[in-house]
Amino acid sequence: MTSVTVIQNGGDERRMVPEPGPPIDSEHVKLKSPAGSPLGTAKLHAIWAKLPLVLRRVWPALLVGVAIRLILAPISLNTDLMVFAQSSASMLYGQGPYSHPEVYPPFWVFYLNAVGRATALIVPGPLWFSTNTQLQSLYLASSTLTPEYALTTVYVVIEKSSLMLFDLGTAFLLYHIAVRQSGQTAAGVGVFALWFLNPYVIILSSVHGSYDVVPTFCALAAFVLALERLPLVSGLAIASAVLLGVFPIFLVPLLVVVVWKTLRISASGPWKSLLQFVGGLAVPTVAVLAAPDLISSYFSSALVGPSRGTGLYQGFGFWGVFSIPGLKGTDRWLSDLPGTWTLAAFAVVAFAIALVVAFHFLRTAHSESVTGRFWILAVTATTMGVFVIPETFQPQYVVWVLPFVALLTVGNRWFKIIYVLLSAVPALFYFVLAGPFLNFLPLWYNYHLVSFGEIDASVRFWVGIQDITFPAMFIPAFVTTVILAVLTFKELFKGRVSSAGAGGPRR
Amino acid sequence: MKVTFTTILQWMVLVVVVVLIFSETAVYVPPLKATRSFTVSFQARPGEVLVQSNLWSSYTGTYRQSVDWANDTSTVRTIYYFYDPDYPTSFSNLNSWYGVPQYLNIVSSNRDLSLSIVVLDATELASLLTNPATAVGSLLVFASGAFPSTVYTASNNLVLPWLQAGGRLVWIGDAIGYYSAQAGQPLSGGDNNPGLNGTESFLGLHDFGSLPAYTVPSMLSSALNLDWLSYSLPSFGLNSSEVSAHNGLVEGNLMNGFTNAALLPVGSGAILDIASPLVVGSEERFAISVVNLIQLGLLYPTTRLVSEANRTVDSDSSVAWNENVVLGGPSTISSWNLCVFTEQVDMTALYGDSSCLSGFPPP
Repeated sequence: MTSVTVIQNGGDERRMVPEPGPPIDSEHVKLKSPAGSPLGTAKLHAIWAKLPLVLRRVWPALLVGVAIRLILAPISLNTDLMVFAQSSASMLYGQGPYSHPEVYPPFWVFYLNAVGRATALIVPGPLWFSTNTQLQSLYLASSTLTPEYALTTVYVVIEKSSLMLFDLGTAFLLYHIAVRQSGQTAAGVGVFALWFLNPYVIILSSVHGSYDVVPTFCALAAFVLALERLPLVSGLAIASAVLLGVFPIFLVPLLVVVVWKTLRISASGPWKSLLQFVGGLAVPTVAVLAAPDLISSYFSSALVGPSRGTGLYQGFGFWGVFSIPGLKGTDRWLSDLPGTWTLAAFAVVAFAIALVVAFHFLRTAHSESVTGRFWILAVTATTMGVFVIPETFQPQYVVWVLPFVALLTVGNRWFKIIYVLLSAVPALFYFVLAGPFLNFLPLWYNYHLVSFGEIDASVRFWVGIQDITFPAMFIPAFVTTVILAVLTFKELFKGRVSSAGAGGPRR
Repeated sequence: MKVTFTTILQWMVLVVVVVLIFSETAVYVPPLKATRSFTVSFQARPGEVLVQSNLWSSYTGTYRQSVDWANDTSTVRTIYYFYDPDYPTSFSNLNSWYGVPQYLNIVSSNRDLSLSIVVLDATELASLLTNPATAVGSLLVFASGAFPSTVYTASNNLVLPWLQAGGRLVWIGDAIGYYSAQAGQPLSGGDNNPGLNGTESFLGLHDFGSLPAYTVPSMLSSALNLDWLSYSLPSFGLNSSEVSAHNGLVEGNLMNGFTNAALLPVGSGAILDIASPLVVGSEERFAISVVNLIQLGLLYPTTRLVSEANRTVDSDSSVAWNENVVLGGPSTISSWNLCVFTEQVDMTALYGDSSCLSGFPPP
């Protein structure tokens, strides 16, 4: 099916013949009829018929996923959220974004400011925290980091709700890509459900409150927008992703290659497109650089720490992905090699993979599009390069790669297995085996529903593991990672990149 | 124009960027940025001083104002902080031990104080303590729970002479003077530890309690913003009566006649002994309390608290404190120095400001 459409590209309108996509399945057509409506009356049938197709297809997964998240969000809590709330409160009280030692990148801190301002509309700042004597006792009885004060549920719900929106945005994005790739709405629904109903993803946003899904969404959006020939917004998205989560910086070289190759076919040529991409990159970057002392206070806050300690004040070293080579400046740099040079190692591995992939891409005759698998495989491989190195590994990092692996599951059972394994390991960590399990449910404890201190101890006793850390848990995931990397490269270099899915236009 | 998914995606990204940049602006640019102003006026009349203060804030906050006679006007200008990760900790931990001076710097700079914060290792600490000239106007903060053997053993004590020369010490962690820590070795119960005798020689106290927690705030623990500290040190709670008998000040929370923090005079100097563990997550509040100690003059046993009162300020509004302070106070007063200290006591808030009026002789 070939049609003529108008594609907008930053005001540069031109008529193009789009790539030949796969035929849309018959189910797709059938759904335009209200016959598939779960609703009873004719009026409701009419409303149902007006809903976008995607909503009519994914509504069961959508409702279930949202319901589970809304149930879990207000009754669970993690120490990360305490730190987030402290940061929000500090800015509410007129202090700088780095008035407390922390390592969160600038855009995430501003995100927390937005969450804090929204919370303050409902609950004044002084009422956000309250001392909780039950939690104090719990704290003293355990060696975990459970805070001894309770945090207002309003902040918890607002912070997690905003993350759920990014869960949802990612789910729709995955649906869109999967349908474009396979030509089948069923594949889109499958990937939507695989992501949105994934227990690990649910836990991450609605229990942990971890923000990693936000930069992940922005990074995914950046590639899709680049492939849709919208380099300006793509630049905005990837710059925001980097300023939110740092790790997408490793994807930038790959994205530049994708932008270059994809836009070679554009009428205005790649240079104009690249300039637009750079312009997009510049807006968030300039916004951050313009803030007084922001960068210097970020580094002075984030680089402090005992030379080899673990815990709260170890600077970037512990969170390897944020470490800056040579900047820790201790006299023990040799013994600190893993922490001190982590970023360098990341950079070498990730950029090497990106360059190999980019070289392979540039030397092939064909271009890339949203319907191809090349860019998904390339992003997956590059992120895997980042994963292999870290001194330690946090369970929330897995989400950086998960949407891309979800896309690779379409028509590939090995990637389905990998996807399940990648999700299961951190999910298990969160809910069964984690030493600091208490951290996640003090609000339940607060509500006197049950003593989770007892449950935690019982479960761990029952499992036979008194304490276990995520790096140890990640050993099976590490094996999974290696298998995934092998699978990715195998597919990447055996010439399937253009034929998988609908394929891009051969030129 | 047909709305496509790509169009929606563009708008999603644009909304994210706009929200973040707007939120960034709110951090830096008034009126979105939170601001406040604080003024104090003193009117000395025969036999009394009228203190009037006013605080305006653009956001809601809880403030506590304390008024005290800070009779000894010598102020602390330098905080010396012992940190040497080669040495073990007791009832403390490496991360908290490391974190405290970071917060001391942050609180100090937020309050525009000209405090110098110097971190010393075990060798540098010995050099400091062997020079009595450094004692007056200095505060030594110990948060590891054990003195290093470079300054303290069963047969050698460099700390006490320095305190007697006018130095101040804030101690948190295990019982003060109980251990003499060796570099690179865990603490043990060997003969090189002075043990209980060491603790008693520092504090001059002999009656210690074993209460599980101290949950009743005292007036001074509230003024210092130390009332959050309810943790206890096993077997080393301080007897409030014995503290008073030694001309000390109870500055911690209370329970059954015991406290978990007290200021005790040592020669011309003093020790604030906090009989509580330093736990992860409490570094910031501990640092705030240390700076409050300095601003309130509560490192000097002659200081007397007159009053304290909390006020909640709504956004874009102000509150006032008015107080008639009758002169008199302790009989040792030959001159007077009346101080007003106001701080925001909400969690994570760093704001604190003080203003003093001095006079001689008493009107």
